[in-house]
Amino acid sequence: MASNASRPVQRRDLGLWLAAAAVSTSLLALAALLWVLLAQSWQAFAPAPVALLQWRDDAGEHSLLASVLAQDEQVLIVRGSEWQRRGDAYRRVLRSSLVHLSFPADALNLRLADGREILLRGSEQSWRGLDPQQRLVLPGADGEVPVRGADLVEVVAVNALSGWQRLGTGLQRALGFAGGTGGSGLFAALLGTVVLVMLMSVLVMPLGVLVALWLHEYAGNDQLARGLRAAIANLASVPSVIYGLFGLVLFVHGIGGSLDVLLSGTTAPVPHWGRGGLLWSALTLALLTLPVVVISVEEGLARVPPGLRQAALALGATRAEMLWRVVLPVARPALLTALILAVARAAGEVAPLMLVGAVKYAPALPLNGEFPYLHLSQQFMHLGHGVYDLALTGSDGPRDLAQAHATALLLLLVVIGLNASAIVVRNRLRERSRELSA
Amino acid sequence: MSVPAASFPPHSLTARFAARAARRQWRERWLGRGLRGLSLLLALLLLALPLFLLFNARIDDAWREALLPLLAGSFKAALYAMLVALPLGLGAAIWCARFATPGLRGLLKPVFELFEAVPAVVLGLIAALILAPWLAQRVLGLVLLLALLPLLALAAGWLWQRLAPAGWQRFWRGREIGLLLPLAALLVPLALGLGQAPLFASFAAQLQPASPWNGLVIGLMLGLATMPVIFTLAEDALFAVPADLATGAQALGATRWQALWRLVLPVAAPGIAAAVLLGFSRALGETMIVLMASGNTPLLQVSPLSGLRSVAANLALEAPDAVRGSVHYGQLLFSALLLFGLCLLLNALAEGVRARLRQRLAGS
Repeated sequence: MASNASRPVQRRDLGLWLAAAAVSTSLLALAALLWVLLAQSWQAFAPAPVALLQWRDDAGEHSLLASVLAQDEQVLIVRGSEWQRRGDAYRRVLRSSLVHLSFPADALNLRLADGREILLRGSEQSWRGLDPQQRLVLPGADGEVPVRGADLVEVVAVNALSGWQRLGTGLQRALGFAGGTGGSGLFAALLGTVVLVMLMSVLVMPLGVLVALWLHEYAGNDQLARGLRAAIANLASVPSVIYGLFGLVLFVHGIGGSLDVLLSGTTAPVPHWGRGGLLWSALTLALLTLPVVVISVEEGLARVPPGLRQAALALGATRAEMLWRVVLPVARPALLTALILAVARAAGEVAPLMLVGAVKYAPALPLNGEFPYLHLSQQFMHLGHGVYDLALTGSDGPRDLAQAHATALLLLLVVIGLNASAIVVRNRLRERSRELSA
Repeated sequence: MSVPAASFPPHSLTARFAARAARRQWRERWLGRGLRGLSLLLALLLLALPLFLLFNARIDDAWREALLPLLAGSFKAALYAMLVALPLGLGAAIWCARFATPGLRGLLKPVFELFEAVPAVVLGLIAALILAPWLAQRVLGLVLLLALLPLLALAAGWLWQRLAPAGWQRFWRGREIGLLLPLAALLVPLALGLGQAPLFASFAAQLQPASPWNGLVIGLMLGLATMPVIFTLAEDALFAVPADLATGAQALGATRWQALWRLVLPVAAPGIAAAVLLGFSRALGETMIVLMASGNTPLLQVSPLSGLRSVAANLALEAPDAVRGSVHYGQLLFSALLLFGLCLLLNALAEGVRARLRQRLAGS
């Protein structure tokens, strides 16, 4: 016990290690989440090896060229050529029934514009530089498969790829998925999200900044200001789905329903404004992000050094001029922070949108070349809602699930990027206000 | 020779100032009034929202059967989430605010803040598709892991303080998680493997969940989602306690932990209580994670191994299709009003407690 006596400081210090364990566990959980997301997203785009399978069961002997998606000791999960429909060629093959399994080097994976994949054997060169109008003859097809040269998106000799080429193909597919307009692309959802968030910013920023300006510069401590402060502080703690309900009751049914009656005279059988749409969603999100904007703008206004205000007033500026010419320009980074935080909050929010207008599939884009270009009453697709839909109601098992993870990863990158930039901007603002007041 | 004042040519600047003065006055007055009017409008709108719910909400005799399982589900999800979020969030906050080196704190805090920003739908996706099926086979392993992790931390700390040379201890002071992280990472596969061992097969069979989408999954993922909320608020409260307090205690011979436990924690207690309340409120209202990973079965069961359906998830599922003005619609609005009121109550409580912390810090 001599060693104990020489180090008395270390008595009963073990609780500290429990706190350290909490940090370690949280960090491990975070790393695991990221890893799962990355690995699953890679699954969506990694070129799966194509196998030539032969197996025997009660119905006789079968032979199939198929992508091997997953395997263990008992079964192989494979996907053959999707001649008719995307997602119709999945198969479980028992290992015990296998007669032959090989990975021919000349196997080709043809991807069509609608997301179908066709597996063939042959040389990659013969599929290059085809006439877009030319009808393709696909050997091994059961029945008529109308495919033209223009439908062919990608031809890869999967089994002959080196490690780097696999990575390259995967990344190329990921890019194509993120910008794709076809049945399985994210373009519509991305555009819907961007338009929605921009509309929301246009609605919330002026309102939030003006209200913050009044609260911080004019209101002092009168009854209205105290009430508004309390309301905004409490608004921040309301669950987001309740905002969705507010939007549904007040905007969609209340305002939208009355608009319909007003514009068409009677209750239309098919509501135009009285159903979920872009404008109502943007308004709902604006309400949801209002506390974020007001609170961070107010914080920014508080950081403007009092010396600047006093100098402006001493030189004869009125209060309005002082605010407009001095305070707001100095607080500009705070406005930017508020905007970024609001956008980040809105971009990740899904629950309220389920009630006020995001849909699984919208036939038209919210922003297009037809008059009036921006379609405010239209339903739209959304990244976060797309994640939910792909995950729970996807029709094409493994592929939709993997794509849901890829969509989630994209959403996560957008939101994290926005938040990180907000943190950077805010830190710069703090440094500058310290310099200004020094 | 003097010139009479009236013969001065009227200066162009004076005239322009006089003309502008009226306009400036007008602008000054109307900016103030306009801003006030706008704020009044906003206040009215904010007041209208709950009133709108209130007027449209309707209850009938059947509300008890319809609502009770949902409320119970919400509370069950939030309680299990708190079981995960409290130890993790508070432990991490204590470590970051009081024990970590400034450099490490500057690294950890933004990581947790970014974690708070992760969209719930992403966490819900992972919970529903990956965690739930994976966990269904490994409940026993998880229990073992949760039991062994604190024991491992305590044992590692004890051994380190006994055996490590003083120089090493000085170097790793404030960086102990660097030692613990690899150990914890090693423990995870070990504990999970142990849970699958044939020796414990009968235990494992008893812990087989009724459905993969159950309270346990919700507790874990919702707990992870609310952990950063608790962390941020509690960390702020703990960091605001003056450093002299702990330094003085340590100078008098207290260990770092004793200084925290006896001095810092009691001072920061209101802030921590507020963090817990707000975390609970967040867990109560969280929608996407519960919607995606709970199975949405309205059961009245306490067991973490059975599914649940929460008020918020129920709203997201049923409100889009509810016919306006129907009994169902009124019931949904009533449940929303209930949730709204609960969250407001928790928030008001937290605000009150936080005001006390501010008072205490200003007084000390």
